[in-house]
Amino acid sequence: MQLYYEDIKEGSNLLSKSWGPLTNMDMIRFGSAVDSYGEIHQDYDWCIQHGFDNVLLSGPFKQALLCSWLDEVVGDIGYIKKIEVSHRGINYVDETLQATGTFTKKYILDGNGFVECDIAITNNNGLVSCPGKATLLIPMKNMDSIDFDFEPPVTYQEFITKEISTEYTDTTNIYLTKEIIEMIGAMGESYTWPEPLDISAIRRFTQGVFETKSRYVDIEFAKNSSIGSLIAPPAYVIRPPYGFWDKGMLGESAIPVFTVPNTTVAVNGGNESEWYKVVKEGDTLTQQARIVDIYEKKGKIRSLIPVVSETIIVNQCNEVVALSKQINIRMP
Amino acid sequence: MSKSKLFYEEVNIGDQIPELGPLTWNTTDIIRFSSAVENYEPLHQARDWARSKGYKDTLINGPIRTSMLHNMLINWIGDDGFLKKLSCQQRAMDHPGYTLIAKGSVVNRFIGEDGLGYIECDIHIENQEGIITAPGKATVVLPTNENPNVPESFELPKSSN
Repeated sequence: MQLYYEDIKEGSNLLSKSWGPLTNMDMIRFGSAVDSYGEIHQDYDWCIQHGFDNVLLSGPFKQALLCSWLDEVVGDIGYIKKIEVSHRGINYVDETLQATGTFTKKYILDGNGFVECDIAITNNNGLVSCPGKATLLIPMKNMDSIDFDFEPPVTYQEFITKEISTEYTDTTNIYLTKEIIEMIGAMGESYTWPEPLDISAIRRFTQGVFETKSRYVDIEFAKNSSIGSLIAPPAYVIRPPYGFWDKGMLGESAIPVFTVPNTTVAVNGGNESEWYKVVKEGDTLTQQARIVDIYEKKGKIRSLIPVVSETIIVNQCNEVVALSKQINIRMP
Repeated sequence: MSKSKLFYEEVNIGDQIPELGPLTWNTTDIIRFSSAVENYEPLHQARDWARSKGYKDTLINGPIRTSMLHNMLINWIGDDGFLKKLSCQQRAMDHPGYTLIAKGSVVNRFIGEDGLGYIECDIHIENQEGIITAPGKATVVLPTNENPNVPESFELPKSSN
C-alpha cells in the first residue's frame, strides 16, 4: 500500500522491520554483491583471534538493510533522498536486527513532499547500533510518479577543485602532526567502475539485502515504468573508501593510504549519503574521494581520530548521482 | 599463460602436463570463488558451523579443484585445442590454508574417426601433504599436421538426442 505525504503525522512511527538471525551466509552474500571480501566479515577464526566474539556484520550491510527498509516505507512511487547512519556498536552474525523510526518533520519543497525521520537498528539484546536520520521523498495523493532528478550542491569539477582549509589552531592535539593535517584535502584517484551496471549485479545486491521492490527486481514492471528500465537500489551505488590502511572496496577510489602515528585500530564511524539522480541499468559510474577533515576527539580513556572523506559519484553523462561522506575513526 | 598452438604429433604417452599451482586457498579466496558461482553454503564459509557439524574446518569447494584441473588443461592445449571431456572425483577434504597443485599425464593418444587428434590423460589434485584429494580423467582434442583446425562444436552422442 502506497504511503502518501498527506497521511503522515509528525511524531508517528514508521512500520518497523526485522531481519534474522542474520547468518554468516547473509553477511557473505552481501559482501559478495559489493565486492568486499575482508576477513572481519567472513572468517570466524580471524575474528576470534582478533578479540571479537564472532564474525562482524558490516556497517555498509546494516546501512543497506536500513535503505531497503526505507525503500519499503516510501512505496513504489517514493524515494530515499538522504540517509545518515552512525555506527555506535558491533553487531555479530546470528543476531536479529530490528529497524525502527519516527517521522520528525514534513515539508513541501518545489512541489515535492519531504519527510524527515529518526531511525535506528536495535539487536535482540537491546543494543542500539545504528542511530541515524533519513529524508524521504513521499508522493502526494495527486501524484502517480516522481521524477527523481535533483540539482547537486557541487559539480564534479567543483568537487575536485574546491579549496579545503587545513588550518588548525588547537595546539593540544597529540596525534595531529603537521604531516597528518596536510592530508586534509588529499584526493584519491578517479575510478570508473569496471563495467556498466547490469541486471545480474542489481539482482545480487537485492538478494543480499532481501529487497523485493519492483523497480529493482521486476523487469516487466521496470520496462513499463516512467524510467523504462531497472534501476539500482540507492545503497548499491554507495562505495566510499571503507578501507583504512589499504585500498577500499573499489581499490583505486580509496583515499590516499596513510597511517596516523600511534594508532592501531580503525573502525567505520558512520556514513551520510544523498542521492540526486537514479542509476539505471547500463549506466557506467565514476567516483572519486577526498579527505575533507581529520580531527582529534579527546576522550577520558582514549582519543579518537576521525578521518572524514567525501566521495562523489557521477554517471557517464557526468551527472552527479550521489555524494557520500564517510567517517573512519582511527584510535590508539 | 596459454601456448598458442599444441599439435597432436608433439604429444607422447607418458608426457607430464605442465602443473598448475601450487595455489594456497585462504578463506577469502574460497569465498571469492563461492561468490562467483553464487554458492553460499555454510560448509564453505562458516568455520564455527562446519566444526559444529564435526568437520575439522570449512571445506575447499570441490568445483575449485575441478576448476584448477580445467585451467591446467586449457593452459596446456593452447588456443586451438578443445577440452572434450573432464571427470573428477572428490575423494578427500581440503581445508582453508591448504596448498593445492593440479597435475596430469598422457595415458593414450589416437586419431579419431573425424581425423582429429585425441589425447587421454590422468589428472589429479594433490595437497601439500602429498594426498591426492581429487583424481580424474580428461580427453582433449588437438590439431594434427593434416587437420590443423579443431571445430568449436562437436556432435552430441546419439543417446543424448
